[in-house]
Amino acid sequence: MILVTVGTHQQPFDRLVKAADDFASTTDETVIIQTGAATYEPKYAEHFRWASSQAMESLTQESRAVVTQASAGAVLLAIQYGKPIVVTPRLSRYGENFNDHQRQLAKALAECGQAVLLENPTAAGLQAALDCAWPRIPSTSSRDQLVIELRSQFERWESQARRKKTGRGVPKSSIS
Amino acid sequence: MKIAIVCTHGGHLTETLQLLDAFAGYEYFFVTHHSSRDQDVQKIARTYFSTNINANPFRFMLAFPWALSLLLRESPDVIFSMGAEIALPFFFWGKTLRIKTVYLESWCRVSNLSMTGKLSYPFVDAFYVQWPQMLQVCGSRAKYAGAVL
Repeated sequence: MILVTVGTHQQPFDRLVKAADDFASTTDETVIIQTGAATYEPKYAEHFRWASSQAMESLTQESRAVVTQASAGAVLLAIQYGKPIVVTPRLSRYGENFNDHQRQLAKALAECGQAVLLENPTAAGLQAALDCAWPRIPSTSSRDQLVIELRSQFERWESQARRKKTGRGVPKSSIS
Repeated sequence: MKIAIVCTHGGHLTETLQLLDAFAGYEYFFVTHHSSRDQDVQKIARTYFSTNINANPFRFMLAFPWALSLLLRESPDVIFSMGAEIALPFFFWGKTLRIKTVYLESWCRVSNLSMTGKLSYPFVDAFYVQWPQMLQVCGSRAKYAGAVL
């Protein structure tokens, strides 16, 4: 099963939804599209607008590959489950986003081999991208490092606050 | 110590939830917008829902008194946010009320800062990016310490 997801953003991403639906008409494989705010209604693929995190997680786990907008949510989930990823950035000139920042992530993911970049989604383009998208082994070490850094920062502030309180409470006579 | 975790829904929320271990052992609450994922955050911690600002200047202005009221009620020690614009009223009042502020730029920002990042950078207490190449784009206050992936 191929899972196609456009996220919860309030602008439609009809380009990807239509391409995925066109692709669904050419294959026997099940294609499920999370359409979000799309105005295009798929005719061939199974589809729904929104789903809970658990449902999306479950579908990601079941899928053979994930086709997604270039946003953290679906990409992280697909990477966590080691699924091949095709990523299509939303573009502002099509009214899909307020700016083009998704291109940065899409290109970075493609450069480090985490995803295949498909800038102009079509049925044929999707087929070609899915053919060369390979699963990656997820690593949590970078996330762990960030968590450690944040906790260290919180602990530093907590100590500073404690020292301030202690300093205010110490009687002058006890200071040598 | 109490931490306010402020973020819009969607990718910002997803990334924030990836970092929940950073808040383990602290008291924390969420501030976010209504979305299909309301229950995802509500089952973790107490959650306040603001209007979805969505680049609307009027709603953005209204968020300021709302944020102040919430911060006075909850009195957090730290405000953590990955954006988007909902972070700004909280950071503004946070500085005024001497609450420590932390901004983490989204993992999606690989080569330039978001508007929220640009506006937050000058005055938050800690500013992090998630790609090392972003350090060349930001000033010396930015730190890279890892990423959600």
